[in-house]
Amino acid sequence: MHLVIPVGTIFGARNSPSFYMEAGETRSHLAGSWPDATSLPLQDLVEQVVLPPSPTPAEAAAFAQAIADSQHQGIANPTTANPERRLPSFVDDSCTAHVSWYFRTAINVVVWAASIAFGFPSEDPTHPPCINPIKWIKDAAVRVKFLGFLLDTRQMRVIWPLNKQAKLSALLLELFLQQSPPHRRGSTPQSIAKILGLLRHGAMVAPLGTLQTLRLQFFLNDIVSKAPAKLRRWWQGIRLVLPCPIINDLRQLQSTLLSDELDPRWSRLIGLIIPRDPTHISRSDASMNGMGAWSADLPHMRRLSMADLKVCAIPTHGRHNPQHHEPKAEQAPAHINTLEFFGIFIKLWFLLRSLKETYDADPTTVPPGGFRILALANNTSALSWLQHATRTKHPVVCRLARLLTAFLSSPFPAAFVRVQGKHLPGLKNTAGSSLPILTRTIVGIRYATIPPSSSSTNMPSPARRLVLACLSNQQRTDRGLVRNKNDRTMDSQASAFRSWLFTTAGYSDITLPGMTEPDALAVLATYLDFKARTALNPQTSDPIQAKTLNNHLQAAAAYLCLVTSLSVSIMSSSSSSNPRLTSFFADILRSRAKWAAPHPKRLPYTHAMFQALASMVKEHLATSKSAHLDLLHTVFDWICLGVFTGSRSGKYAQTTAPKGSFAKVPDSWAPPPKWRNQPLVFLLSDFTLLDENLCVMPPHDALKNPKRCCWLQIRYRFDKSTTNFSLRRYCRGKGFLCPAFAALSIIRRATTLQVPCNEPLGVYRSNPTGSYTYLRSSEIITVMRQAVTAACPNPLHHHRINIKAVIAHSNRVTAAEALFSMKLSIEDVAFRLRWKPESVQRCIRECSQFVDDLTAATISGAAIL
Amino acid sequence: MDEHLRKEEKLSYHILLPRFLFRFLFGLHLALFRVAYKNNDPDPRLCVDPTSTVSKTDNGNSNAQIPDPGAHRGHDKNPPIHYGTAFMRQLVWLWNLRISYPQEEILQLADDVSVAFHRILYDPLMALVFATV
Repeated sequence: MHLVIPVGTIFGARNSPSFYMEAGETRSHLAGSWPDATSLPLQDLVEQVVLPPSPTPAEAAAFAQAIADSQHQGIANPTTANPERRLPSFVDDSCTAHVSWYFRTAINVVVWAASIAFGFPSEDPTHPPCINPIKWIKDAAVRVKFLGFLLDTRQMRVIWPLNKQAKLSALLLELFLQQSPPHRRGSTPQSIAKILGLLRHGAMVAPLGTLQTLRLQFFLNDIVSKAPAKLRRWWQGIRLVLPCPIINDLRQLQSTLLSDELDPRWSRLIGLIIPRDPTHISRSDASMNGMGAWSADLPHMRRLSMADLKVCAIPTHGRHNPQHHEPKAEQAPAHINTLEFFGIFIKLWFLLRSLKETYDADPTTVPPGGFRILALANNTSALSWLQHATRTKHPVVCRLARLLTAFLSSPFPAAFVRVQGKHLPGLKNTAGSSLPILTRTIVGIRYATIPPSSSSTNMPSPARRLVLACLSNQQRTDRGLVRNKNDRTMDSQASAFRSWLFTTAGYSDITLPGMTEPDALAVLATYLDFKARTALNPQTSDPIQAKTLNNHLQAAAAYLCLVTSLSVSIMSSSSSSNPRLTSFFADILRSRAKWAAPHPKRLPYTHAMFQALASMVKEHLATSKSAHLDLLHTVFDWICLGVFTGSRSGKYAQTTAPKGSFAKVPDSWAPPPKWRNQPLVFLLSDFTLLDENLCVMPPHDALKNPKRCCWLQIRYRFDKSTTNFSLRRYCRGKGFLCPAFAALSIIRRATTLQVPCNEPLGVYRSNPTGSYTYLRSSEIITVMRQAVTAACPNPLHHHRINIKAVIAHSNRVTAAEALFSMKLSIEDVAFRLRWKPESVQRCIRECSQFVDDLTAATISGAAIL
Repeated sequence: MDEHLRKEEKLSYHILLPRFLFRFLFGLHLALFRVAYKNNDPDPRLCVDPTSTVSKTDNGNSNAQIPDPGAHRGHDKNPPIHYGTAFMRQLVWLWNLRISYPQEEILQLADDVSVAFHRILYDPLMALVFATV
């Protein structure tokens, strides 16, 4: 018995592949970028390499070619910065390729680089050489096996080898035997999984193989999902009898195996596998009124109405996704995803038929590497089904997806065509001028109405081009996460209006462009009335507010502007061109405004609540020494600070960003480059700590001597108001409501969690291992309400009854109320909190309860102007 | 097994010591290992695979402490892996070679590095973490 101590990395350690990769990629880098490879001494292994005879001129003339595009321009002009592209290594396997006259030099530098990275054999005779001479393949060839595939450089083709096909064939024959009558013993899940696994390896070059095993895959998935699949004996123990259609699929698949190495069903052109520029681009779109497609490369254009689809027996009943804000009671004619997918199918059929006809007439029309078709559509589900037929189990879509896969696996497309999908934003999916009204998904409606119409201006054409380019740039400008969300809301409101317009008002893409100004105003008024009567707030189920109603009106007006080319001015609710209708708009909005949401909207925090929160934090700290890194303490610190600063939650926490990410300053021309993509919320550099003599204390000094820290100065880098970079200074308090103490705690947490200086300061520990995540406003609200419950145990307490009015904004209310109750004027409160005076007035007017004197005195005494 | 351990020691992959010494090595961390046989390979490999837990309190041993490859802030412990693109990189290289040399013969030769993982030597202090009795 021994004690075994490994000297080098071992199999099984989770980081073994990663660390080997660093050494392997170092070797690749050396091999690819050594400046004077020809001067290296010839390695022993390289001397043994045998080069094949040169090709005859006839053979050379038959070499499959490659064409340059924006992504590939030859080895002298790499379009990627990847230094390892010359010697790709998959763990220990690598493959060298070069032209014959340079090949020996290329292989020499590869072997030399391996010795540099892993040691020369002469350095340690007891250690085996890194490249084993016994396993060294001496014959260089045009066709080699790498990672299980044959790579043929004359044909420029990837081949699934015959030995793998033979292995698959043997497995299938064994399965047929097990499934054949009269006994039909059935096959084990393990043997089925083996077949699927082997076939998935070849799926990159064999789309047909994937198609023929879709049913088998679904069958196994269904069984596994209901079985104790974690048990190893289950995989080998039970027997599954496969349905006849699956056996038939597999028999067809088996019949294609072992026919020819270059069979297009089991091999593929390299040009069809690697990413390349498309040779053909086509756009398609669909709506509840029909579908259309357009391609400039053939060219062709088509449109089909819903009536055409019904004639073709396309499924015409279904329900649209509820998130499109359509009235659920109305029956939409078909699901938009299915229509979009069907639209892509028809478009591809046209394209491939045309390409096939051209190929039949002249086979030399196929470009080197084959055809690459880029299908652009604005529906991600349809594009997903285009690539993977397995991604849906909806019967109609499933059959359609399989039919499309079978169509693309037929001999001509399989050999020469690769189809790829790409999402195109709805507003851009106009394909010239054929489809703008068919477009269902509306994107960027807020900005789409800005460009002047072609008939309404006498601009010279250069000036017009400049204006359009300027507006186009403006539309593409990054507006940040929050503004983008507002834009999306407007888009969905415009979509809802269009749905109403087409389904209830009876307009169509034919009649809509002919709408006149009076008609447009009347339709808008009717829609506003309809919304006022029927639309409900999804959260409260109350009728929507006047502000939301006005937003609906603006979105509807913008949509009408876009599709009718009518003047913008008449679409505003403040328009004076039709006084009666303007009055009508105003009446509806005013009537709704009178019935605003009942009070209280927001409740301020009281001293008792702060104390309850502090007690919770103390209890938590008693259980764990590192509890100050956790959420509870983090929220406490930011709430404490927030009642002094009066900041929105968006200044210190994430409101709309997904968990684990943070909102950033837009990457547009407006902010200076220094601040682009920086967090919107506070950074460490926004907090400055000062001693009693107003001398700046570096953060680490302040953390070491917290008592010396007397002042906290905050730089409000990005504000919702027009002014950024304003400064406010706060003095140290006496109780636990102290801005300096809260700031120190926040800085200490960020330092402990090793938060980079360009990431938000509002973080907390999300995992005991020390990883952190960014504070979110929803988490703040949860903690604040917990404190309210703890402070007010009586469920009939005013705060408990109105607990939904305790929100992150309560901090702001607390700050404003506290300062106002200490007799500061409205203007002073507005200045100290960086608000508008009207906002302070409204806040105080709407608040149903003032903060207590202790909190007010603490807050008002902490700030200096 | 004994023969295989001795063979690997001869190739400098392991250090074999008398078993009783494990009581005297400071910082020694014992790890389970198994021998992986594949396709009747005459050279089975020693494999430390602590993912098979032996009790409810077993947390997967030393592997559980290693973050996922390329995890945020875990690059020092487990760098990101790019093996997944190796095959596509090779195809792209061939395509670009053919663009540059349309009429030249392009030759290829595959090789592999023997006992690849063993090439990455442990720091002597770290080696004790994976010791086995």
